[in-house]
Amino acid sequence: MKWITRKNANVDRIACPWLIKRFVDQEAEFLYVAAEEVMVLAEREKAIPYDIPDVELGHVDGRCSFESILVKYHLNDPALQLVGRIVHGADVPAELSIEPEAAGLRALAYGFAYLHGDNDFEKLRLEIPVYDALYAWCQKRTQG
Amino acid sequence: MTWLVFSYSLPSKGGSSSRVTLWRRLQHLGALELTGLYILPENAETLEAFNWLAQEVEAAGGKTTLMQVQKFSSLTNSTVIEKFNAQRAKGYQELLTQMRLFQKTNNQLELSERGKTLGKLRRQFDDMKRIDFFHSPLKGQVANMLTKLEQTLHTPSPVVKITPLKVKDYQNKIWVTRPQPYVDRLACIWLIRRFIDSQATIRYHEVAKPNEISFDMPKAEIFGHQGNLCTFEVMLLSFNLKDVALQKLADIVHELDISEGYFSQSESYGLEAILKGWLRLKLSDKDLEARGIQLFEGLYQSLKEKL
Repeated sequence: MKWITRKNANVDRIACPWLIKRFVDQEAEFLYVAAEEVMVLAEREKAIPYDIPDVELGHVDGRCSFESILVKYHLNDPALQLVGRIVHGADVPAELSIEPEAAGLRALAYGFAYLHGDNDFEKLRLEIPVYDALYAWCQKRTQG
Repeated sequence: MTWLVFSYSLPSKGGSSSRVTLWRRLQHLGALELTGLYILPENAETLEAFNWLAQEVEAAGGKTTLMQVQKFSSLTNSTVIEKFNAQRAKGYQELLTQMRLFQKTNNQLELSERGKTLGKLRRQFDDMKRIDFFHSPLKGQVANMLTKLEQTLHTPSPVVKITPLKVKDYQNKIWVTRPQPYVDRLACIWLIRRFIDSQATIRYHEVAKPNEISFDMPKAEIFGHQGNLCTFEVMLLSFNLKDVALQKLADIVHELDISEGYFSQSESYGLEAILKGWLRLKLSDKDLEARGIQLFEGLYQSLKEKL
């Protein structure tokens, strides 16, 4: 499937593709486009829109988009749920303190955004290993 | 100065839980309430936060209005700013009270307990700073007191004498350190490639050959721990590399490397998670090196931008 969202990603819109690729759709292709074009292009490309207003996979009931994907695809692994809370804290500045790891993840995501501007694919390439590591860490945290 | 002004109404029946949730979320955002209107200074982040909130209210059957306001006719901008600061002052005062209480009981607690409490206070402070849009005068006072309390956790460092070195004497060299680098060594590798020699070769082995430069190894001559300093800090001092972001990075590396069970830098927990995650994934030394360099470059940029 194709998955589409707004360009200039920081946290949620980089974390979601990692989650999708690893746990939902291994063949996923990602599109980052201007905010006002997301819905039009989603229709034309038959792509699934995420992290934009008024869609199922956005910020709904206090969840960030990453957490909405967890709910929709029944991803109940406690380690992934913990990654979700860390992403939530890093993405929603008002809730930065929900997990201690969130501040570091946020700093890193913004660092890559300063370095690579609107090159979302470069940010994705650099941050996939970061999310792999975070998941491995969360597996350990949830086992103990 | 542009303000965002948000108001909402929820259907009168039911929804008392969503009312509480919304109220809590507005508090978290640091919004100022004036006669049922919620105000925040405008920027990309506050705009996005209000938009997500509006969507939530509408999903619960409610209605919202979001306005951009240049000027309130009944209030001057400086009065609004004073009101924001008065709201923040309450939070800071509470934190000061908690810290004074801690100061009194401090001596009866174990080191790890003290660390935990201070870590919590530090996170609360970080949260408040984030919504302290107009720099309340109390912020500095809280920061000073917290830093002083945090210093009581660290054992004082013996005086270390660092010999100044020239970057050009350390180019075209082979640098050696133990396999499976963690925080101190990865930070050193980033520093070597970025500030000393972008082509430097790094070799991972338990022993260095005569012409190679060892670092963070038991027998490292110069680049090892000295006194209370980790190797990264020793390298910074040796090559006289200093800027505020590097200093902050050094504080993070120091506390992760010489862990005293407590981190004062809010970024440290996330960094620990990622670095330990990579060790758990059993990456090769070269992969750790490549990812570590990217990681520290990203973090350094972020710290630079924030300052």
